[in-house]
Amino acid sequence: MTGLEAYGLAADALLALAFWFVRGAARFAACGAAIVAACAGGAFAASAGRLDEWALMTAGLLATALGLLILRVMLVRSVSLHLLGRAGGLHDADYAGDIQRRLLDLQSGGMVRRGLDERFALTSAGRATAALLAVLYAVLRLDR
Amino acid sequence: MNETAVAAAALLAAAGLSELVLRGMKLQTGLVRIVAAWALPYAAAAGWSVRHDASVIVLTIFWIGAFLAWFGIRSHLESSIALRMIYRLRERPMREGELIDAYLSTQSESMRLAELRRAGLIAAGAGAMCVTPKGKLVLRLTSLLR
Repeated sequence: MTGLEAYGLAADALLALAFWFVRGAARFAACGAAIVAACAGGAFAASAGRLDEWALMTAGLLATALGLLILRVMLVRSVSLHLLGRAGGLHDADYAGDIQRRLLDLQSGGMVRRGLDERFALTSAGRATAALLAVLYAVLRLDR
Repeated sequence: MNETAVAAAALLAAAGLSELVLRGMKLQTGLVRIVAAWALPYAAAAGWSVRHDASVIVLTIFWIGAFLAWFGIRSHLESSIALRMIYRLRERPMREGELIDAYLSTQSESMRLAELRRAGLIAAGAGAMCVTPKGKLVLRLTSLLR
């Protein structure tokens, strides 16, 4: 096993451990970024000029950290998991309440604003996101 | 051709194959097909790596990350309430009630429950929904990882 490969495997193992032990999304993001930066730095020194392999591995580690971060957020916020938990008698999922809370999240995240007429409209960031979504939904056939 | 180009081509093939096997099905329902759609391009890229003395370990590290990120983003695009609301609002500004009604017309609670049923996570019991053994396993895993 080369030094580059050892750094990569160590980074994946550390990311998995961080996913298990670091529960908050923001703290996991910080921890994941630190792990990827440290291991990518070490791997670069050990790459012996194999920049292609180093770039591929670093891209993979970044994607792993991003994927695990999305997974952590989904585990906490997923409405389908809330409904499954309700069916299992774990808690009282409030579907309509979940939807209302997302609207407030969008407002506090600067994606929508509430006008004087009480209507919600997209901000410029929201419009850019909506344009991107229109393309992605059409390509993935999710525009129903 | 270098290994980055091979990995990128395999990634595109996996993403394309995934859409073909899903055919409008949700990720949680088509998970086995998805795993197969990602295993085939990986096997082809790994075969190329072995023949050209490239690192299979590096390819595998890349593949794990690519799958996790693709799964997270695809699943988020498919199910996110917030993204659906942004998509709806691109048509025109709406009051809260209108927006929620528009959302519920395509993503109602009963539709979500039907999707859970199709995925084999819940089943109709005596007067109420009950969680299947597969659903109980998912609940156990999510409570451990949450």
